Amino acid sequence: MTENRELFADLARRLFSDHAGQAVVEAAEAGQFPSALWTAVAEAGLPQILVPEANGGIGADLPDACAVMQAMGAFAVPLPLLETIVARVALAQAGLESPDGPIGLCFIDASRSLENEPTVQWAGKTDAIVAIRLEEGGGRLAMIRNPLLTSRLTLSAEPGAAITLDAVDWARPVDGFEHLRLASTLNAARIVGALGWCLDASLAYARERQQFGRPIGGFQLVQNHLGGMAGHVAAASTIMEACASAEPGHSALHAACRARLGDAIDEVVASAHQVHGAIGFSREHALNFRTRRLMQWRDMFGSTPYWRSALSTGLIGRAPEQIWASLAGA
Amino acid sequence: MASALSALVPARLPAEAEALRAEVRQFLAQERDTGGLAAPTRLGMLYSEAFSRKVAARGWIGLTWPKKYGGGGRTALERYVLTEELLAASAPVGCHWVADRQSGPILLRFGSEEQRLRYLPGIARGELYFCIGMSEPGAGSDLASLRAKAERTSGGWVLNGQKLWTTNAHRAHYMITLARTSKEEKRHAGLSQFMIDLKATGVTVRPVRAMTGESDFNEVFFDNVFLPDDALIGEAGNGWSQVSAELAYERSGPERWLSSFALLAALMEVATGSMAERIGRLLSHLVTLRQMSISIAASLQRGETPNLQAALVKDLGTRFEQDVVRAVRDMVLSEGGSCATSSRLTGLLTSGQHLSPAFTIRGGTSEILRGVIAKGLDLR
Repeated sequence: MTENRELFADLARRLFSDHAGQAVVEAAEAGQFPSALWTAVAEAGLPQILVPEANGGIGADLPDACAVMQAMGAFAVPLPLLETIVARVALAQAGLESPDGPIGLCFIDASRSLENEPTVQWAGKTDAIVAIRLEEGGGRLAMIRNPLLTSRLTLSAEPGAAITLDAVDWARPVDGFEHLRLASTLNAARIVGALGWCLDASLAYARERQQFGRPIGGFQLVQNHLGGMAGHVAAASTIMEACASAEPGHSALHAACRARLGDAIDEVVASAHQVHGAIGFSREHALNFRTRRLMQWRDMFGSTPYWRSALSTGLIGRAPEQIWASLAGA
Repeated sequence: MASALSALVPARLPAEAEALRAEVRQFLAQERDTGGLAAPTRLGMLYSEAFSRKVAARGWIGLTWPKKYGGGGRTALERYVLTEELLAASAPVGCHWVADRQSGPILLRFGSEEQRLRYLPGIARGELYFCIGMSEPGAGSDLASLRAKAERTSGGWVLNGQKLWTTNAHRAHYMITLARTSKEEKRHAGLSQFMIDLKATGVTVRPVRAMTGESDFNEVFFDNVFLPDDALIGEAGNGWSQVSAELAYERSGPERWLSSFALLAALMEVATGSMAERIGRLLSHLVTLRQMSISIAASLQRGETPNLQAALVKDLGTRFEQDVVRAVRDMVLSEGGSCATSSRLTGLLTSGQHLSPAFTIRGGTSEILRGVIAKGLDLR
């Protein structure tokens, strides 16, 4: 980790441990926007962490922003921070003024049905929603101040709504795929943060929880679960880091990252709950605040199946050495 | 985050490694054109002395070893690129594989100067092949229970016992073996590593046929085999820690997730768009394992012994290889009619199914690896 990145990670952890305690998360899941948390995050400049300094942002690198997202995942932070970070980058690129407050974000892709009816997290509680329509070679952006919304049940239990985009003015051309990759990479970082939390919590619980007269972590079958989790978390962390520091055009790494994370989430969530037993399933336990978010994040900004297909589509029908050359980078 | 995770430090391949990649690809393309490298018709390591000599002629065996031993003096990251390129192309590198991957490095690390000068140049020329003498009939996962015994005699040692599942013993010139040299209170003490000339009196190599129909591995008997003093590698009694270091080389390479790539690639060549998602899922694991391996290569370059990282990658990698075989089988069975399944694909799939149970056993079972990981997580 670079020095800068360590600083951002510390800052985020401090902010979240001060302002995103379990009571805040629970209130958010009951529909209440965490205003004090947002104010603290905004005062630290995090919503414009990736906006260039010339445009009034912090101008940090993607790995720095990923460090903030990892902390967000670990703390199960209920805030449209990722959405606002990407929306501000996209608005700056489109030459549009950003609203001051939080911004919702969604992508659509008519040809590949990225999301048929996009659900926007925190829709209705944000100043605006930025919608990006992906098109061959680019895309178009719309900023929607008064969206037409239908409330939706979400996996995370944070508020969310489906947005109707029929009458939207797709005002500005943008590099839609670049913004999708950015959102997807930040999403990967918060997933990795939550996965790491699940492993650490499971390890701590396995050491402390006694059954049959000894800590359950002493049983080989439980160790097997934990060892398997460690592998998936290490894999997730490695591919996310590779993706965060990749050249901008390396789409295979981006697709591989999100596709691999989808499987890591399935495995880690199952094992973390298995190690925790019934207690992790009770609503008040911290574990399920992470696992519900992991279920949600798994398929946001491109679902796991979307990214799987994105990775292989251009390679099918090619000769083995061409396939390898593409996977191993040129 | 847990210690097991901070262990895998992200790494990138330097420019000189990518430059070497281009050279290796050019060599492979040339071999394809001139008949030295054919598209594989079955999964599993292929053997060709002629090919090993050609690889050696390019200076690509012992790539990281010092030049005075015939090596290339290059980095572990360059060697990583070389090995992944050779394996992805299903090149027949089996003859020199073990010598290059672990026997040579063990001699460099623990051998005497005389041993290094005696064996390393021949390995680097692609002329000396090695095999690994660890497993025995009664000592599989519990390696320390081995019974091969070397007893002191004048001018050396006398070895008796048996090794099993010794890949390539029938082609190799030497074996580096682990034997008990004294009985100690601690079972991991009193073990030593020796260099065995497989043509020595008292050594018998018999093939063991595998369920694949191939006879790549063997049983090796030692009947009063005389080992001169200079056959001892490293220190007497230090065998266990030497073998542990060796396992980091044995378990960490790309062969632990690339051995089914030829099958996946053969399917992709003829696949239909309806298979895209299932193929993409497999590729996402492959791309991730590759990044993990690059991290391990960087760790080796720093002079570390990444046993925990190697266990993580081998555990995930070998499960992935089995996953590939199952997934390709199902795609061929359910939708193969809609694409041109070649006899080559069928051959790869049949041999892949036969070979797949071995992936999670050879080089350390998944259960042993999970134990190593559990230790790394401070659970043991």
